[in-house]
Amino acid sequence: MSLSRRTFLERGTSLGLLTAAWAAGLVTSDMLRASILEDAFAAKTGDQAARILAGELKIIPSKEIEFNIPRTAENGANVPVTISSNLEGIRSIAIVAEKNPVPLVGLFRLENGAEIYLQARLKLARSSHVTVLANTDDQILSIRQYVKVTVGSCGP
Amino acid sequence: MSSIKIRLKRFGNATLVRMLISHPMETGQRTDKQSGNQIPAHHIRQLIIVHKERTVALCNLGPGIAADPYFAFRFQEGKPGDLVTVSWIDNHGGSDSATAIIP
Repeated sequence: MSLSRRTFLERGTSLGLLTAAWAAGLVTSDMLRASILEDAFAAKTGDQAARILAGELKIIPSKEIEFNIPRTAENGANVPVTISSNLEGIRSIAIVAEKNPVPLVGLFRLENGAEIYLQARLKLARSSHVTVLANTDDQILSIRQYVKVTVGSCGP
Repeated sequence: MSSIKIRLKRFGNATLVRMLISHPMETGQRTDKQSGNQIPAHHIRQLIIVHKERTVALCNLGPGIAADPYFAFRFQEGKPGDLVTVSWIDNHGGSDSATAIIP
């Protein structure tokens, strides 16, 4: 079953409404502002990506986010991660692999009753820190873990 | 055949959605060994998980997601018989969508 771009866009109306809200200045600080997405994906270093995502919010290290990633990855082309948290008020989660050519791996908005729980598989170009950023209303919580890659992926 | 496989499981009040999508997730950094040409980037840009017309997860993805991506999410309030739809769109304008029923 294929889906035309049009229907896809219509299904994503919640995003459209939010974009309108952002344009109107109703939502001030959110990692998912459409205007910063492109910049964040274009960032060349993990720090740069994190700064773009955080905007004016402070990035605070937190132990309230559970971040599971192997310390040693045999294959950088497929590294499983699990992120979860019982904290209230987290709206979105970003994963940043600091030494990837495109450091921002993904930005996940969890809403409408979604729990803060996420599993995914990443590519890691080489050994580096992997940082998780969680966006609450007034701050960005972060946790990071160094991952040693024994065989690099061909590089995202 | 759909590129998306969905597995749904209920845990008390929550529903676990797992999905496996077949997609090359080409990064744009690799070169074709035979021709020496760079292989253009081809990766999923957006992934949307919808439960009964409410979007529970909206994901913007880059090339750093592994090929044939796997994701899992959890949300509250799923009931048996509810529909869960997973859709993706990639940077070439390709897209796919699949729906599954909560058992």
